[in-house]
Amino acid sequence: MVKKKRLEIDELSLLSPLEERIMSFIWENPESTVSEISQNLNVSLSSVAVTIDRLCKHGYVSRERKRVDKRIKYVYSPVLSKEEAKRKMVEDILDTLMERFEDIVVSYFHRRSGDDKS
Amino acid sequence: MTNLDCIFACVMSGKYLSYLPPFVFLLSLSVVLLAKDHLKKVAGYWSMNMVLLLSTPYLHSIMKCDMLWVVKTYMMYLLFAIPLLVMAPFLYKLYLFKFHKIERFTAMEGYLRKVSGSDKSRMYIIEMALPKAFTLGRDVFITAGLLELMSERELKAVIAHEAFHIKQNRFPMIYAFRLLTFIPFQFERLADSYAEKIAGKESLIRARNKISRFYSIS
Ligand SMILES: [Zn+2]
Repeated sequence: MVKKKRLEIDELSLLSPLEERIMSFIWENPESTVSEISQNLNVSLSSVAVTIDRLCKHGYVSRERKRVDKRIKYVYSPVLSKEEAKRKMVEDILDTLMERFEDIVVSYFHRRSGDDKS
Repeated sequence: MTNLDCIFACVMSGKYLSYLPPFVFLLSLSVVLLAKDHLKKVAGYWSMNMVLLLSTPYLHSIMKCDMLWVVKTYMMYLLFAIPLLVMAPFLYKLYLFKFHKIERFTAMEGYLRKVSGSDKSRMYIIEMALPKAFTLGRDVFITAGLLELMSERELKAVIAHEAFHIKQNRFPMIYAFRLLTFIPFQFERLADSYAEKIAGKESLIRARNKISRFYSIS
C-alpha cells in the first residue's frame, strides 16, 4: 500500500479512489443508505456495498439499523471525523512500518530527533 | 476394457448380493425421475448415492480384473473428501461467527420454522451490505443488504427457498454427494418451485429480479 507512494502532504490517503469518494459523501451526508450513495455517486449498488463493507470492517464507517414504516433500512455514518481519519491513516502506516521494519524505523526516528537537537 | 466395462463385468461375475446395489440404484433413479413430490426426489437421489458409496468397498472386495486401481483411487478420494465435506458447514459457521457481526433475527423465525418443518431452525442476520441468503444445516443466514432490499413478501419467498434446503439437509451428506459421486442434481430448481408453491410465484420472481438488478453493473 505504502509502496505506491500516493502519499502527499495534504492528500494523505490509504483509501482507494472509490473508498475516498464514499467517505467524503458520508462525511457530508451521515446516515446515508447504500442506494443513496449509489445514486449520488453514480456507482453500481454492488460496488458501493462491497466498498462500504470494507470501510465498516476497517472502522471508518458504522452501520445502523433503522425502521421506517415497517421497512428496515441500514444507514451508514462516519466513525471518525476527517481529522481523526487522517490521524488513523498515519498511525496505520507507522504501525505497519514498525511491525515490519522496527529496527529501521527506530533508528530513523532516533537519527531525526538527533538532527533536531543539533 | 474401459474402466466402466471392467467394473460392470466384475459386478456381474460377483456372487452373493452383487445384483442388489444396481437394483437399488435403478429403483432410486426411477424415484428421482418419476416422483412428483420434491422431497421424494431428494430421497431418491440420496439413496442412489448412498448405494454407490456403500457398494464401493464391496466392489473392491470382489473385483478381480486389472482395473482395481480405479476403485482403489476412488476409495482414497472418498477417505479424504468425506471428512472434509462433512465438516465444511461447521467450519464455515465458525468462520462466519468469528469474522462477521451476526445477530439472531427472530422476527421471521416463526415463519421459517413453519415452512421448514424444523422447530429448531434459527435465523441470523450477517452485517453485510451485499444481499445474500444461504442455509447451513437447519439455520438460515441472510445479510443486512438482503433484509433492506426485500419487502416482507419477497423475504418470505427467499426464506421459503432456504427452507427447502433445510428439508433437504435432513438427508446426511446430501450436498456432499455431488462431489463424492459426481451425479448432478438440481437442488436450486426444486427449492425455487417449493418457494413458488408456498410464497407465490410473483414474490419469488420479484425477489430474484431485485437481487440480479443489485448485482448488475450500471
Ligand atoms: Zn438455494
